[in-house]
Amino acid sequence: MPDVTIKVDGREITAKTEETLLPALLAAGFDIPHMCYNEEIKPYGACRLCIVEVEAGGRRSVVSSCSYPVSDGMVVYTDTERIKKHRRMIVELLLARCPDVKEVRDLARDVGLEHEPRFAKRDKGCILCGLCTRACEQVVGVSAISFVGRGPDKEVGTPFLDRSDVCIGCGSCYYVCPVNYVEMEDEEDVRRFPQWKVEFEKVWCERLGRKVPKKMLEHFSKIAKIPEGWFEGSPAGKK
Amino acid sequence: MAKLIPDVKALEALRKKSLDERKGYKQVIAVCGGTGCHAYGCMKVIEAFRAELAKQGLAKDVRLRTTGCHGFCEMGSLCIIHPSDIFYVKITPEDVAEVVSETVKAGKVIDRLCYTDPASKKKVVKAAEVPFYKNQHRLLFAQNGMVDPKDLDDYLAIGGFSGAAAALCDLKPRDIIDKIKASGLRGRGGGGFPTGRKWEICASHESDVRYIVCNADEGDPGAYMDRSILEGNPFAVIEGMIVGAKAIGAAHGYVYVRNEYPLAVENLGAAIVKAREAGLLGEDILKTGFSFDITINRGGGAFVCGEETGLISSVMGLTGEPNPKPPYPAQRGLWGKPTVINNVETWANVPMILSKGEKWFAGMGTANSKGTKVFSLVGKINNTGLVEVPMGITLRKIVYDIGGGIPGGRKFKAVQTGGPSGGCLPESMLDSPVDFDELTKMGSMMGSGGMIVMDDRTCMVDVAHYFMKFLSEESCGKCVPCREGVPRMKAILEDITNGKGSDEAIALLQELGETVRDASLCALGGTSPNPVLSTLKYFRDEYEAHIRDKRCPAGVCKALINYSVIEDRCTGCGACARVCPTQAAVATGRPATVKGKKHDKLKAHEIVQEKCIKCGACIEACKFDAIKVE
Ligand code: SF4
Ligand code: SF4
Ligand code: SF4
Ligand code: SF4
Ligand code: FES
Ligand code: FES
Repeated sequence: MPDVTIKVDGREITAKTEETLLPALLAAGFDIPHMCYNEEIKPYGACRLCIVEVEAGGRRSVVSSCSYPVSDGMVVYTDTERIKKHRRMIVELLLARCPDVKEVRDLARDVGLEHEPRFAKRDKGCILCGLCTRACEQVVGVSAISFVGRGPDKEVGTPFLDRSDVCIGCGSCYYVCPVNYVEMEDEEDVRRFPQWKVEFEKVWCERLGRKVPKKMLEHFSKIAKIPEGWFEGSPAGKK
Repeated sequence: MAKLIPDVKALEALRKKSLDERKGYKQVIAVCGGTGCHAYGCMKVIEAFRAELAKQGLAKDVRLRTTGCHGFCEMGSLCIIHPSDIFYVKITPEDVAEVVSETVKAGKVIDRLCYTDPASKKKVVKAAEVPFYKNQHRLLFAQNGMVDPKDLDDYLAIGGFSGAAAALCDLKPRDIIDKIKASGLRGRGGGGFPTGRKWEICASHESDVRYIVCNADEGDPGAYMDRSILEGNPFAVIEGMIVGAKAIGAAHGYVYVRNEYPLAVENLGAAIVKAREAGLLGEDILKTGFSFDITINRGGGAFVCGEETGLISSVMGLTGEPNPKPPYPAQRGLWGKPTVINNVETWANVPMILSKGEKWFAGMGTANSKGTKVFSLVGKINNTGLVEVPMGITLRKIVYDIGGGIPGGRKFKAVQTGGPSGGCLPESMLDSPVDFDELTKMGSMMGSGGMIVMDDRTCMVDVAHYFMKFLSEESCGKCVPCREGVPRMKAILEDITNGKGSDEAIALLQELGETVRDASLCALGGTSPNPVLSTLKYFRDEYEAHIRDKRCPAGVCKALINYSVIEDRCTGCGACARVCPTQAAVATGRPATVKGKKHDKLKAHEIVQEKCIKCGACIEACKFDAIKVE
């Protein structure tokens, strides 16, 4: 794939044709806040923190850079007054939703939000970025968790907020969460996800060199068509 | 079972036969069988007509036609008799025998069944003379009155499928796209994107498969033009989709209909079956080598599914959540394939453009908005219903000439165009032309064509609050500005209407509204601040009165008003006391005033503030204007 050239805040950078704007901007050193993007997962465009202005046909429009495809010769502005103003307001809304979340407070400082949110505070811990549900679906391939409800009352959870039967305990949801909302209790022989109401027995894996949930090993063996016992079967025969 | 129409020659032969058959009737009674009229028992009226025509031996000479909506639903049941054009409203089965013997047989007009113009108080005999109809420019809706939605021959008789025949036999895909582009048709569903351009993008996108979608997920409360077209003239929508399919090279189409529209689903379903039997859908249509078929999809009815990308997710069986654009559906839509989505009204316009020509279509409207637009006119207006007008007509003409003005001689205050997320335009904008770009410039939008008229008893802050409440409940909750921002606007407005608005509220609303408008993911969020931003712009003094003076000028916001009796107007009739649900309106010991004179026996009334719940029942009940709100 040939590269394309785009002009960002007056500077020319290159990007791969198949890329969207955000990874190209980040790679070129632009500091763009983003909370619902992960390069392994399809762009979702939900947090709207990564907004930039794109100029086309003499008009500038505000777009989410994580989802916007690059094209040759495109002109982008990342730091205009308009973008800064909208970004601050978005952070203010997030801060009112999650006033106690450290990552959101840090973000508020980074974007220069100097005052407390002007909206009544709520006490949510999750920003509904959808990274956990998408990781579980797209990367792990089990869809153990999803969004429940709609609009302002939306939450992330297992179906009917009941114990998940399909969760394999891989912890991907825990690792991708940008605000550390997903709880994972990882002990020597057991791993628990209190919010998903599940717990997993852990077994030794020689290849990984540590104890991991048994169900996770089974799952990955199955989808990767790995011969039975590959994970456990250690050259040294250690268990 | 409809007979198979093997090719275009046979189609034209059948059209001629249908026309001749129809000429055999001396008169036609077209009775509306739409959803609105169903509520008034139109099916019983239709049955009564059928029985009566048979009884009076007229079944051969007079055709009874059950049609779709005529747009004037509040007058249901209604019928038009052709060719005399006599128009009867609010008919019941009991009126039918008289209509047949007096009007159909003897040509006499039955005064009692004629429409009374509320403005002039005069009876109007002919449909074409009724102000509500006279000032419209009815193309789509004229057809609704001329066909039985389940009768393919009716549709052929008005020239149906000639556009599709031309598209399939004589035109290349490129020619069709050029025609639609030249017509200037823009999407009637909301954004007003040029239809031909959309088709062009879709057709130019490399792909083995492409799809066509008809969006019939009309989610605006009170709007029902798409329902009425689908119910009344489903063949036109089918024909439009065939033309579109040929233009972009699609073999399959979907119609996404809300579940709440059973009659639309029924009539469309019946029309699809008939078209299929006739060979107008399916394999090798009219022996042209082109194949296309349509599936009906019944939607869950979430407001956000009307947004194209949300609709696509929903058709594919996923949560109806919007996705960021680009990629646009025309590039990557259903199952990742290029997909053209247009709404019902847009599709219904397509056959006319093909049969009457793109120049004819482009001859109507303004520079950048062509053709007609259907609006659903409701609120504080004399004539409510569906109105079809040429683009560029002024708001004033719609409100006063077609809508007949404001009831009770009250003053016009605002008109909201474009549905719940449209802006509210003041009197000073009434002479502006209605088209896509002008409405946007004024801070509102065409949307799908909702139009709510408000009078001087409407509080604009309350209106903005009402719509923010609706929209916050309809937000899908995916993106931050809309999910978090709209409920915040609602909360700020609620405080203002409760007299607790702070001095910073106006600036904060403005700032927040701009972010929600510019930074939301989809058009639902992007347009949702319109009611707030437009009222801040045009009715700022009302906000200020609420915040600074703790006063609701329109007398609506309960926390800021009191009802009281104007003592020297009160005749002591007691109407207020009878309707008051909390016994707050009571007689005093003081004499009442009748025609300026004090009467000792009649007692002036008063309202005990502690008991009053501000329901407004007394003010409606008082015939002497003796109750005031402040
Ligand atoms: S731990 Fe369970 S819920 Fe989390 S990503 Fe893995 S499978 Fe999904
Ligand atoms: S739990 Fe974390 S990853 Fe999942 S939606 Fe909430 S903030 Fe995002
Ligand atoms: S703007 Fe509103 S409806 Fe649209 S994606 Fe965002 S939250 Fe959902
Ligand atoms: S309805 Fe009006 S006139 Fe009659 S008693 Fe009440 S305030 Fe007086
Ligand atoms: S990172 Fe782009 S919208 Fe969240
Ligand atoms: S349904 Fe009968 S006029 Fe609309």
